[in-house]
Amino acid sequence: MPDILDDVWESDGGEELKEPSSFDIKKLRDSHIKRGYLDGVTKSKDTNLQKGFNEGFPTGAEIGLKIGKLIGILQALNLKYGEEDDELRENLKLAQHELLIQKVLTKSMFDPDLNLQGEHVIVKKWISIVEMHCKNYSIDTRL
Amino acid sequence: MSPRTSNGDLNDAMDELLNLEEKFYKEGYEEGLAVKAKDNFRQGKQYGLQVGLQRFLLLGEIEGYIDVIAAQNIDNTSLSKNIEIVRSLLRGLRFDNSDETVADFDSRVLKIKNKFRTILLVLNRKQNYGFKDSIIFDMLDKTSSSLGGTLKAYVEDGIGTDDVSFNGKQQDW
Repeated sequence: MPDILDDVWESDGGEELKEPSSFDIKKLRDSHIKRGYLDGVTKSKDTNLQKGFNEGFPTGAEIGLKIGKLIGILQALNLKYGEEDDELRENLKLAQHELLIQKVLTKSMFDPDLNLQGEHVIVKKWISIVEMHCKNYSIDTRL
Repeated sequence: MSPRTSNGDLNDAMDELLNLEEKFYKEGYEEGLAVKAKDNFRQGKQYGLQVGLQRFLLLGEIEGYIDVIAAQNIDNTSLSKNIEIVRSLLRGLRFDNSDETVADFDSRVLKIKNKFRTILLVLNRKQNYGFKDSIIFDMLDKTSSSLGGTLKAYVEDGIGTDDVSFNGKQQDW
């Protein structure tokens, strides 16, 4: 017999069963809610971690591909024209700083559900900068 | 415990108690499921965003280099052919995280890397294409690792926290 039952009846001194007191009910409630809560937590953990991962992954992938491309173009252009083009050289340096993962994946870039609202602001900024350099050197690319 | 009153009354009381226990348990269960579902989903999503970003950085970088190399209009059949192969492999990339896609991703990435290395070999063998230095594959690899390598544990935007190196573990941001 679970302890909790003893608790409910322990105040029973007389012939008749007493109604459990509100204190007993509260104890019963707390204990069972806690047990259920823990089971619920365990149950949900794995499935929801995976569900969330699968939802975030494609967005991360697209951002990663874009950032990589921006940096790749700037690096390659810099190897060819960097010595004469100060702006290009500076932009590459700055891009490597501003497009770090910890700068790109911050709460302020996403809504509370971690969805992008429209374009990523930092990525968008660098797309137009890199497009400018591409135009300059006749690089045919799609950003 | 022995019945001190009629069996019917006791059974009713027991039933009521068990129902109550079940009701409370369910209440807690639903709460645990719901509250943590949201937390876990969010955690998973953060992690997915990070891993997705990290996994595709190098590929994007290769794509960028390829576009610049292709624009040099270098007259070399093997180079043009390999550029086309890499581009076609990149076009076929999918972004979801299904088992099928993950398997495809790994073999695709291997092919892309190998073809790109071949392109660099051809390119670097002839020094007259205007690139100041040889393009070394490791250089790209290093860049993508440095861009995707660390993630600051999130506290508040703009408030610095200690750098936490990200090595496949979950970080809050």
